[in-house]
Amino acid sequence: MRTSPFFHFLMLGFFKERKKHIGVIAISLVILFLLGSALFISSSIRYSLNQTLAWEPDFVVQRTQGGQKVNAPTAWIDDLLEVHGISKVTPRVYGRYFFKAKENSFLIVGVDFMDEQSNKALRMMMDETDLKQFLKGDNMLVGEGVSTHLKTHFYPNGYTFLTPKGVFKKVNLFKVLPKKSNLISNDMIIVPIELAREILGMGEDEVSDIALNVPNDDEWDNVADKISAFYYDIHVTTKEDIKKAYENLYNYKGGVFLILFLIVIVTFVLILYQRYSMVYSSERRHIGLLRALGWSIRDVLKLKFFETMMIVVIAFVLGVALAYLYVFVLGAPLLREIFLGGANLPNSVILVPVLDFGILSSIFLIYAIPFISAVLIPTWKIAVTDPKEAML
Amino acid sequence: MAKAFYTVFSFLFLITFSVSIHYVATDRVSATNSLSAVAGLTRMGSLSLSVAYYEPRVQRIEKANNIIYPEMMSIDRMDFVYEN
Amino acid sequence: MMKAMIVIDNLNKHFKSGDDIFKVLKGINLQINSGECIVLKGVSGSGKTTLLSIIGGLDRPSSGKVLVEGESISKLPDLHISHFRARKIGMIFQHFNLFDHLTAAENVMIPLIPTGLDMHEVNHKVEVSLKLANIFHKANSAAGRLSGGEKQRVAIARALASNPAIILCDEPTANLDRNNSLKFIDILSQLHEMGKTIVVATHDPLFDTLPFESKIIPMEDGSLVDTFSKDTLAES
Repeated sequence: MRTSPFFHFLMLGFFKERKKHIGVIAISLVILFLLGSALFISSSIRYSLNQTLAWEPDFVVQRTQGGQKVNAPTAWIDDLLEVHGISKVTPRVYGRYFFKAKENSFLIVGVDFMDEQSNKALRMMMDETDLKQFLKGDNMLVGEGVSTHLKTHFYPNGYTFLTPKGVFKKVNLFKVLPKKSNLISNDMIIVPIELAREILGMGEDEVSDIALNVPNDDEWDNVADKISAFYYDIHVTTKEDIKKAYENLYNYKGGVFLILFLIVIVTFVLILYQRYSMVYSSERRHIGLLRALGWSIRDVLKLKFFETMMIVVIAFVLGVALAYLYVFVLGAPLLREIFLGGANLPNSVILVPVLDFGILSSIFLIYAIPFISAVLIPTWKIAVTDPKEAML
Repeated sequence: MAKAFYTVFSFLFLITFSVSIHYVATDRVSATNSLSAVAGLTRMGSLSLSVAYYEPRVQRIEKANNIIYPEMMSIDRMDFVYEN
Repeated sequence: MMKAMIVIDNLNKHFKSGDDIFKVLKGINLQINSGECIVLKGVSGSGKTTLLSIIGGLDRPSSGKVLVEGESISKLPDLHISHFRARKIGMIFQHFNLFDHLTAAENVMIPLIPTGLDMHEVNHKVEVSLKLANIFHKANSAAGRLSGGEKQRVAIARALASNPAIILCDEPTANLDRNNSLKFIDILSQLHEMGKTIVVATHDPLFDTLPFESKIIPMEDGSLVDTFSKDTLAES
């Protein structure tokens, strides 16, 4: 293959002095890997949650007392049904069951299997025979985290719950929810609504909160106002609020990212300083010599630009690819706990690969531009001085 | 030295290509379907955060009181089951 | 009549350090003809290296003119002065100034890169220069591993690579033993035969009796003292 002398010399400088570059590539790679991993995890979680958002109710109505959520009366359901434009009013019964032995908790969710939507969703998970079998006795569907936890503690086939009334309630483990749904179902125990009430100690006339839909988006504000005016202790959460909450949690502008960015910025400034001072000290004589041997300022800048560009591209591609491998192939061990927590049941979630090209290109530019500048500015400063002075 | 360049950049290209293949070939539909089935059944799509019992599991109901760390709720929260 | 290759007209160079002004070169006037060999002799600090740097376009004068082949190089913009250095000047430095991580051949290639030649031509020129400097057998050795004399020959080959008309040598034998210094003078004699214009800045007495026609110009405190031909020096 024919190569130009310039390209040949660029390669000579780059590969023969690779020791000089390996350190900076390695540090950049670690930074980009960390940043890439965090962004991959967050965009994957947000993508998955946004997909499920379509199945979520438009509104959730709760009762609050002294700023705390308390159970709502079922009488509210009838009041809500009277509001024009509201559909699919569903009472929700859920709560956390504390597994005292290991100080863990499960989320018990009661489902009305007679409800049309719930029934339809259940059929997506099991066939007709299983469904009949499931509805016959006290059975539960559990998330993978719960299943593993119960197995570890010698409850492979079911669990005996202690209700607040002091009664033991044995519930069979009917099926484990698919691993792919771990993101929302890991600590979930799905039981018939009556059973959930019993375990959670809720009365027949109580629900945890009420979910409802308002098919006409334009009416959302009106309906929210109307519902809020019903009772002094009513609290309405809209789907938009949920979206915002997810944004708050996993947006690159907030949460854990601010801390990560801070660390990255400090490290990056150190790299830039190292590059800047390296050009000024060890490369000063080289630049002066090249100039003395007939290289113009433009030639020297071109050489340094391409050399730095190679470092940037190598570090970026390797960093991002490693982050991809770590997050989407290995499942981001350790780091995912920062996002999903590690205080309760371990969640071995499958993260769906999502690449946000906007963010990736921003990282590239945020990394590449200061890095290239940190080399080109001192190079230019040295190159414009007389070669004799630069070579001193 | 040009050989080293072509080796390094072929390697980078190979990595990028493998990532692209993995990205394109991943089955997103079945993962989404599983999540949708659970969300549809329970009408709850909230994230299964592995939080301690004194921290809120159903996140969105509360308003974060710390913008830097939205997961951190006020210390008086005790919403595990018997607290209700 | 010989053609004037370098003409120096009332050249001054001074450096400022705070309020003090150090005059390094004071009103230098000199004409160097094509094919001539000039030896600038003087102690350290006499200004010979500065004069050489200004002739080579590595430094700029404070006032006065330097004409090379009739063209003033003192105020040329960067692109032109770089072009001038690449094509017309071959520099040999006191400390050789080689890139130690590169081989001898790769070092010789450096001045040829900005000239726009293709790889084949560059390789050919590198080979010719290395042979001329009698260091072709070390073409693929890393410069950092060569002896002082070998390094000097690589530096010579590099200076010859673009076939320049002018060869400037700054204290070329300062880091060489007597044997290698004599070898250097042999090569210099070959270059003289090839018709190159040579300017040497040195304080080495070996250059007092060069085996070819040369002109010795002593320098003292930034001024040219007098001009001697080899014969006058011998008489004195």
